[in-house]
Amino acid sequence: ELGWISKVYVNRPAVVRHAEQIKKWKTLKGNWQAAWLLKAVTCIDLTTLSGDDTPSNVRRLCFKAKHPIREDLLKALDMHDKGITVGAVCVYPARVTDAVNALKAAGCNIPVASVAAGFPSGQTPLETKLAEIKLAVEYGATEIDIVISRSLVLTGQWDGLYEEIRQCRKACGEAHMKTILATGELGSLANVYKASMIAMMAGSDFIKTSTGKEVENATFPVGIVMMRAIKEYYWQTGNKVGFKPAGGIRTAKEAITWLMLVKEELGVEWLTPQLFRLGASSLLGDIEQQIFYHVTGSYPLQHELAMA
Amino acid sequence: GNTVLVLCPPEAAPPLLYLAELSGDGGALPPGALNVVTGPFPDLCRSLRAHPGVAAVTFLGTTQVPEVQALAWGSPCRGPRAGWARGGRVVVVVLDSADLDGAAAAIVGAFPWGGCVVLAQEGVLAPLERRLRARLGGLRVGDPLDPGTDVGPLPPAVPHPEGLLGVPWPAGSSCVCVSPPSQVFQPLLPPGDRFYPPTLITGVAPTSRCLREPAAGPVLVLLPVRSPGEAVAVASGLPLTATAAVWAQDVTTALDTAERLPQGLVWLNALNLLDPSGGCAGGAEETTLEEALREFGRPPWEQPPKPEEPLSPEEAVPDPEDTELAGAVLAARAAAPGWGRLPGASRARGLRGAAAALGGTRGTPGGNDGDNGRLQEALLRWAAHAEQMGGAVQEVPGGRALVTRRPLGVVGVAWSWPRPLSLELLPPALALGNSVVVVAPPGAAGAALRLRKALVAAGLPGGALAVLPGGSRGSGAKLARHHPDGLWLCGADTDWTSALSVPRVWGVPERVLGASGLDPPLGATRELELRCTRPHCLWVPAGAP
Repeated sequence: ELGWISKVYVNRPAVVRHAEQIKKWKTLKGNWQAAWLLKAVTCIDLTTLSGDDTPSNVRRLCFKAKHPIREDLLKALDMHDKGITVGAVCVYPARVTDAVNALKAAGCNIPVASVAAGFPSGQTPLETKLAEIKLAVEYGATEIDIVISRSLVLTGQWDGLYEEIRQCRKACGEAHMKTILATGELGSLANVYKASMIAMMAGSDFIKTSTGKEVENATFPVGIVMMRAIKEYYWQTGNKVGFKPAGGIRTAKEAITWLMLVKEELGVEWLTPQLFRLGASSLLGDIEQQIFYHVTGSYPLQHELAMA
Repeated sequence: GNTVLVLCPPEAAPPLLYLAELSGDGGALPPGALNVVTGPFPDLCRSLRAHPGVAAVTFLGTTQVPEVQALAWGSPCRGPRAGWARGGRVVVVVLDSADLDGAAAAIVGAFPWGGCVVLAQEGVLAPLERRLRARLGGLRVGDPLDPGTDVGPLPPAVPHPEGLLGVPWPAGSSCVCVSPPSQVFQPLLPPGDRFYPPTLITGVAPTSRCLREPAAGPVLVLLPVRSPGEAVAVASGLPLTATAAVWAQDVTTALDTAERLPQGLVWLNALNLLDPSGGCAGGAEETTLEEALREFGRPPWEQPPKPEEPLSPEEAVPDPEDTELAGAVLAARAAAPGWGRLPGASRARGLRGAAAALGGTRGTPGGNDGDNGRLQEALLRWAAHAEQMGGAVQEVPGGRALVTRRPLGVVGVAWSWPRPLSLELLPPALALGNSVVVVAPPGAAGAALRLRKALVAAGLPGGALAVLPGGSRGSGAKLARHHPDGLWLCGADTDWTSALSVPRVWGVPERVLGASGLDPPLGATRELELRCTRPHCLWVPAGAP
């Protein structure tokens, strides 16, 4: 529906002003903060996307994914039997097999997400992108995070972008697809809105802000614009598409602010791992520290919490 | 530098009394600088008015207190000076190239207490309404001290909006009371009838009561318009509006609409941003900080008038007939828009031409060379002013404010001082784009006619200047009853009922033009500039950090 794209207007100063307001929201304390933090933990996609990933550190990550918070802390909060695990584990395609095996060894069914389609730059031919997706699915990934070609957005080739994402969707098959928009490289908030709409129209299950490797990753103005696009798409078609901010979220306070923002812009139904994920690696450590503080009253030493 | 006495009704008293108490503690203000008196309102106002020690009176709060204003009214020329009431509604114009999410977020986030009227272009009416409903549904009503509340109770002594909205609706309109929806956990409306849920009203027209009388309380009215031009027309027709906002991404349309809106402060793609230093719109409707300071201060050449001294000798001078006045004001009103919209350079050319034409008539019988010379000089000086009246650009939080001054429209001058009319009073009003209707004693009629002829010959429209013989003390009231946009009283007087219809009334001090033979005093030029024009502030948000 190219007609929707031509009428998109986004006023950047107004969005930035709205984002500034968010930082002034009252912070949560006590039991409510702990509850929101645990909710955030269940929405995390625990990620390791480095050049030096090997089976050993992927295995360590998968075990941490199964036990994100130390047992006795969860017992103190009376949440030890609620099955608190992270939302997914996110790795490069070459490490998908290791992740799947490690999770099987740990004895849980946390999904494995794989990045694909020329991550992180997306500047590879479409055939190799599709081949990469198919292989990742074969190796056992049940979620695929694809990357769009920013050049198509910057040159306004909306038809081309739609076609590309649609073919990736077909290549994913049964797997759940997240489309990474790489918003830091799209140039303007209006482009972010338009790219979100095209991605949703082409069949994405989630739209994701960034790869985590750009200069500017997930910021509140970009998140607000993407969430408004999701809401508009829901009003037009009745389909709920999920949202994932990724990159640059390091503190527990930021995680809670993102959750509050989702609640304000999209509503409570979006606050579940099926419709909201946080792409992060060191965030889990900070959340665990905050929970440790809530339970014991003091901050932990480095060895007191398990390394991810 | 003034001492202040605040009169307020008992319901509004607690915060003011607390403020007075705090300012006395620790010597923040010397004793007697800030005084607060509460009590039965009408009687206190009467005593205030009669007290000789009071120099100026101003009003705060809603504007629907005509009885109070009537009681405290004094002549603009003597007795306490009356300031204009502050406050009014916000008009938000949303055009089809607007960021609808941004507009809805700003409207609901700001939620101005005086009420808000949203004029949306038809193409975007439905999406905007849906977004407004979604956001209003998320507002929490509750205890104002609880940080989680968005909307508190109605202020004391404010009439409950239900009375205003309980009027039967025309068929097909909907009054939506948006209470907190059940999906979000929110406490129910707290007990007590001072809480009112955020309300969105659609399907009404400018004839409906909720538009004619602003309701205090969280009430939003949504009206469709067909085009930016129609939005400007509807916005101009709404009573009691103080500020406006234009939402459009198309820069040409946005700037053009903002330019044509009559409200004194217009935000572009923003809402309710205020300059904490009070620079371009010191919280009041249609005044800037400079004018607000003039309300509470007196230039050195202006003597405080003695209350009991008669302004001008009682003369039995016949005033012009109502029909004559009506005709003159009508002609002036017809000429004013065209003349006011010309660029300053064109107006300057007209005035210079008139000055040249006057120079040619030197030495004719009845003309006084000295006076003619002064008039020519005034015309030339104000022609130069007209060319240079640009405005100011002020840095404000989040952007820039372009502050310009616009002509008032039709300025009526009622002269009843014993000396003949000083024609140098007229060039300022003309140069800055107004049309002038003068009522003055017949003594200066000849010179006035010559001036008028010279102006028309130089290209001004015929209605731009009209001089009618008259000049009794009541001529001010007579002129006011024909609704000019500004009224200058030189010795004449006017009563409250007539003056209510005129937005700007000025009691002209005798020395503003300078004593005979001397130059005008320092600061008089700026005073005249401010009195012929009203401010227009366009708030343009600058790029994001």
